[in-house]
Amino acid sequence: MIFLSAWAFGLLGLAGVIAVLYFLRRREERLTVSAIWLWQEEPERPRNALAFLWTNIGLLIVQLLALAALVFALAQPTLTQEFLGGGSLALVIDGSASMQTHEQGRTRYEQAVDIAQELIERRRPSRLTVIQAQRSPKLLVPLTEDRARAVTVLRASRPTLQSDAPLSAVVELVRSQGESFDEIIYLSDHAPSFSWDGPLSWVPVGEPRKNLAITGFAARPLPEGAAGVTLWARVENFSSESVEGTLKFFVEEREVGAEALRLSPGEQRSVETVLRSSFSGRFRAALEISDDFVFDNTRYSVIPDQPKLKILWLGERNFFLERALGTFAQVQRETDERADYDLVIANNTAVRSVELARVFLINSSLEPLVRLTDISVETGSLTVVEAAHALVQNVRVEHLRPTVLRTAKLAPALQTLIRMGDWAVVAVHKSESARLIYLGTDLKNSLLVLTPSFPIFVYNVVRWLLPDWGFPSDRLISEEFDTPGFTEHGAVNLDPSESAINRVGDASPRLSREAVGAGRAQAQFPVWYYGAWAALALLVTEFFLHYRGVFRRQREEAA
Amino acid sequence: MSNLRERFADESFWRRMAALRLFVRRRTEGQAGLWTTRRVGMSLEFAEYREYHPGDDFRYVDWNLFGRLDRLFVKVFHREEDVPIYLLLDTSRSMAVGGKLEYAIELAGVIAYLGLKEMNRVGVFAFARDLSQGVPPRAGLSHMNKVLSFLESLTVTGQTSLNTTLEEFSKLPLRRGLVVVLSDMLDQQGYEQGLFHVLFKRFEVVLIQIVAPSDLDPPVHADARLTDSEDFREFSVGVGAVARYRANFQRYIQKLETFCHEHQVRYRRLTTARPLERALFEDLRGVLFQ
Repeated sequence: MIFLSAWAFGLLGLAGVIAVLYFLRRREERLTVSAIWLWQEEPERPRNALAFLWTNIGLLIVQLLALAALVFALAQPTLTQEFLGGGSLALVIDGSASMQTHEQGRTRYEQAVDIAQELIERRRPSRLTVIQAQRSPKLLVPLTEDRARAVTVLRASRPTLQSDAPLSAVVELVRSQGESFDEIIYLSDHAPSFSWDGPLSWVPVGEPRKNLAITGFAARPLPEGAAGVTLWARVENFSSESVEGTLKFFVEEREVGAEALRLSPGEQRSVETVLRSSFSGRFRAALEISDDFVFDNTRYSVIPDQPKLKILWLGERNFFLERALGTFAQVQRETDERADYDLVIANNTAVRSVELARVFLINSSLEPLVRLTDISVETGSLTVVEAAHALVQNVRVEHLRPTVLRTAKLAPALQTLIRMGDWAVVAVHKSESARLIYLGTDLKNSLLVLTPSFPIFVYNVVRWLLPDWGFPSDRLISEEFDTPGFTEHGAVNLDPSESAINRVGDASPRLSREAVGAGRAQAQFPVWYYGAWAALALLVTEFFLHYRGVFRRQREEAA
Repeated sequence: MSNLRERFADESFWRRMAALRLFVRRRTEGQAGLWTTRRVGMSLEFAEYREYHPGDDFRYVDWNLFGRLDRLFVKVFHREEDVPIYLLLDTSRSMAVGGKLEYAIELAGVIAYLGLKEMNRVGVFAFARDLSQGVPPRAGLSHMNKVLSFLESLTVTGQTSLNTTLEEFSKLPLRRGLVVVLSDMLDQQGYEQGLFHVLFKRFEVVLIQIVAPSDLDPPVHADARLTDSEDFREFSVGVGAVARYRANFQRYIQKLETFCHEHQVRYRRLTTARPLERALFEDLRGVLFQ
């Protein structure tokens, strides 16, 4: 039994007040009579200990019992009854990298699977689903009544090296089952980072363990003119004790540097080294240490060769645009439309048609999608219509403001991202076979080319127009790359947040490990009204006991 | 006893009391002038004729009758003489319950005054276990002061023994007269023997039973511990015992009334809640007053 309003027990303090008032009022009634022998025809009222006790504190006991019953009712007692079966249960098991932390020969994920199996066997839900939660959540067991199958699938599942699951994806998966679950249990080594309206309980898994991690690693060419590469690594101690280790740098599996480290709990340290020989290649940082989470002991980075980008250039050339393109690609400019090219850039011209529809229109027209008018408007404030679009990420919008905007009529297929008044400044078009970006700024009459946003905007343009073109990058483990290391696109690393294997956090409600074993799913039955009825009955009893003599006397007189 | 003094200081009270006359049923019959101490010519009340015997006073021979019948008859008159009034006041501890003693003292004071005013001899006796103290009967209003002082000095003491005290009273060398008993008459040993002794001595007895409202209707509303006012015995009762007590009390009173009726004892029961004047003018008319 649990009490939902345990504060009500404070009212038991009134018992003292009642007792004091009772004894103040309940002095023994004494009366001097003229002739006691006229009373003595009936036997004397018994005066044994029990009778004395009842006479003196009987009513007090009844009153205190009434108070206790009232307090009991106010405390909202609720009976909890174990589920003998039935109900629906959603098990969300954390499949992120930190669940691969080793604890005495077993991973946290294996422990979580054991708990999940115990939950299933003890609660015996009539319907059940199991979801593995990581960056790309996976529905391990769709809604089923087959508990044995669910356990089998759970046993066969393996954790990933992905980062934590986003709430929206997990919620979507749970809701996709079309069931209003009686209970959703989240098994993880840390509290859910999301709040969820519903019967969500968290079962903590795992104990604090030792971990020294490389949470950041980068290889960057030295500035233009200086030959060499800078290697930088950030090492953090997530343990509750000091940890020693050796950080080593490798280039193409050749060790190029090492540094012994000793980090106190929570300490973070950056290590940097300069290589004078390598301009590109694959780099690796590795910690030589024995800890409980090994996946963050190595990080990778790549400096790739710059890929070639063939551009069909129509209209005017622009020095700043070419320089911006040259920061991430070897640009090969074509002017013959029949040549092979990756991208079309049209600057201050009118494009009739292009075969490969990867077009960057700069103050140019392309019938029938974009038709420039003869109307020019003075500059004004810009409005971002689609701030989340990849094209405008890391770009300061005011840098895109043209000095004079030559207006254009856009086909409905174009989506305006930034506009000035009613006129589009940046618009995009995307279909299965074509992608087009329209920029309504005349570059030679605009300060945009001089702003820091310009090369970023150009980078975004090329990346959006050519998503499959090989951009060099370091990436985090995701569904696409499930293990750390090198790929043809670059390096893949663990999300550094997963290195924090001891971030237990706090959340409510929380199911203890013991509650999982001992408790089952519990149904709550309020029983406060029993207390209320008992209090009422006791008060009525007290009233009649108190006035019983008066009533008897009235009855006898009436007789 | 300040009430008593206040009562006697109130002239209007006494003017109203002037309307009361003591009611004495038995009158001593005898020849006029034999025992009288006071004789007023026209106040003689003719009773009957009696044949003349030698030695009779010739002055009472009815000569007209002798002329018609040729026989000597003498006129016999009721003898008007004073009636000694004896006030027996119960001062046992039970009289303290509900202010019965104070009520009895005030009543005794009024009766004594009226008796003295009618030229009677009035004596006051207090009793509890025995007839302990008293004021001997005297006539004249000057005696009133002594009576008042005595009444004011009375306090409750001891237990009641009606039989003993009434027997003691009957043995006192007193002229027959009116005995007014002021008591709650609550004596477990009874009162019959004592009253028999008094009646045997041909006293005219008026019994005024004074009870308190709490005697009639005890204020017991819950379980209570009772203490006897006289012997301090204790007894625990429940509230249900009140009804049985009242029944017992009624039976006791009924028995007393029956006894008084059968033995020509004038009886009246007064409660201390009854205003004294109403008791005097309404309740005691026909019993103590005309």
